[in-house]
Amino acid sequence: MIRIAIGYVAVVVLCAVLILLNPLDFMGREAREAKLDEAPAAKPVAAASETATAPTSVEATTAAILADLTAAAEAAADAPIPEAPANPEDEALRKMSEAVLDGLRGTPAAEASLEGLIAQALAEGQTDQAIDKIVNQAVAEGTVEAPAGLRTTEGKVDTAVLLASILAQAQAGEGEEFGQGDLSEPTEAVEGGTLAMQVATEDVLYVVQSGDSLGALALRFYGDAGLFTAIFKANRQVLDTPESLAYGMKLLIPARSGL
Amino acid sequence: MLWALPAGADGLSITPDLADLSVTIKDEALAIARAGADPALQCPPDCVQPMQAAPGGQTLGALEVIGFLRAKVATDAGRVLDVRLPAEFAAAHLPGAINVPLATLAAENPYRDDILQALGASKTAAGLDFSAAPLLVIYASGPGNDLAANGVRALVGAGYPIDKVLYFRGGLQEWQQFGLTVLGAADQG
Repeated sequence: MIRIAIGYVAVVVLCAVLILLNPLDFMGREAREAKLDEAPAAKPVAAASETATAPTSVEATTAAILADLTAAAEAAADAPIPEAPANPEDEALRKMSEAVLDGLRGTPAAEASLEGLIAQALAEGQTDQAIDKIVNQAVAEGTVEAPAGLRTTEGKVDTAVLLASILAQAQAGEGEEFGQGDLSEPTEAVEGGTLAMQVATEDVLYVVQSGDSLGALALRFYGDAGLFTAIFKANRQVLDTPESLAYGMKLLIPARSGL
Repeated sequence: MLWALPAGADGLSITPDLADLSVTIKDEALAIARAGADPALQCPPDCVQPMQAAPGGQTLGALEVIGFLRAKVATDAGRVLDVRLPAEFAAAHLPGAINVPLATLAAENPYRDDILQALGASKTAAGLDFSAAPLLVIYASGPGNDLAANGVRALVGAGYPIDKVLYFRGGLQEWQQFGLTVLGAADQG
């Protein structure tokens, strides 16, 4: 009798252990039945930059990011969205199906671009600091390329200038809305007003400070980061490439009117 | 003897039902077997494939596939699907092909309907409507395994009309045999 009782208890315990160790088999059915298209949450939009021609100027980059932001909002409804994985096999099948859907819908699988990266970060409501970190990490790893005019003296990407430029263009675009409202906030992250406008009415001799980029100088002196090429051209004697900007260099900033 | 050798136990079978055979032609006994095949192969799945993947289905050769790419794929009236695994597809595939691994076309895949709709089927109350769906060419590694034929059968099983699912039996193997352009990592490496 005791043996039967012990045996019974053993079976019950075994069942309980099985259920506890393997909850997905008992709870995952709903998740498994969920359809890709009906699932919520935002999939990182595989930012298909339609302007595939490698943008070299700050302006082109800015325009591409703005285009991506509007496209991202439209694509969000269409993008296949991951659900919580039910079990490893389902997860593999889901990933494969998602890749198939991307292929059929003509979305290249997560093609990395600076524009896509920033557009996605903005859409996610990331802070300027976070975006700066994301961008610099991606550039350091070589997954994306940044315009030469945005390289600072430390070799980093001047994300602040890029964001300020995006903001300026977004505002110029007659109050177009870009979802998360981040663009309407003031650019307080633009380092304590170092980018305050000092419109160059006449040629200025400027000593490069630590952290400067040609884009930042163009924004400061002309109000348009895209005009960095003008500063670059005027200083070809000291600058081989826009990236070769270094601390202590003396640059001639041509007058705005002379451009 | 109570046990019999399963077909092809001493070598690779030709088809699941046919291990090897001998035929007598003009009083001479001739043996036909896959003695020259890679010993790592197993039939199934590495069987000699019949010309038709499914009853009523049409089979294409490389030249017809080129014509299909030009006349149908280029005008969005057709698609070329590679049903191998993503890694194989990434290594080498036909220009213009889309990777749709066989597993994603199986009835067990809960996302299969999404894929069929992305292919061009439309959802109706009565199920999926394939009347506006494009022509498909299905291929895999080659005529030495059942992958592409299974792809054709999976699509037909899901309701895709057989007259819209074309079977490129020779697959990548035939394509490369002619030295035709392939895309993928192997090509650039």
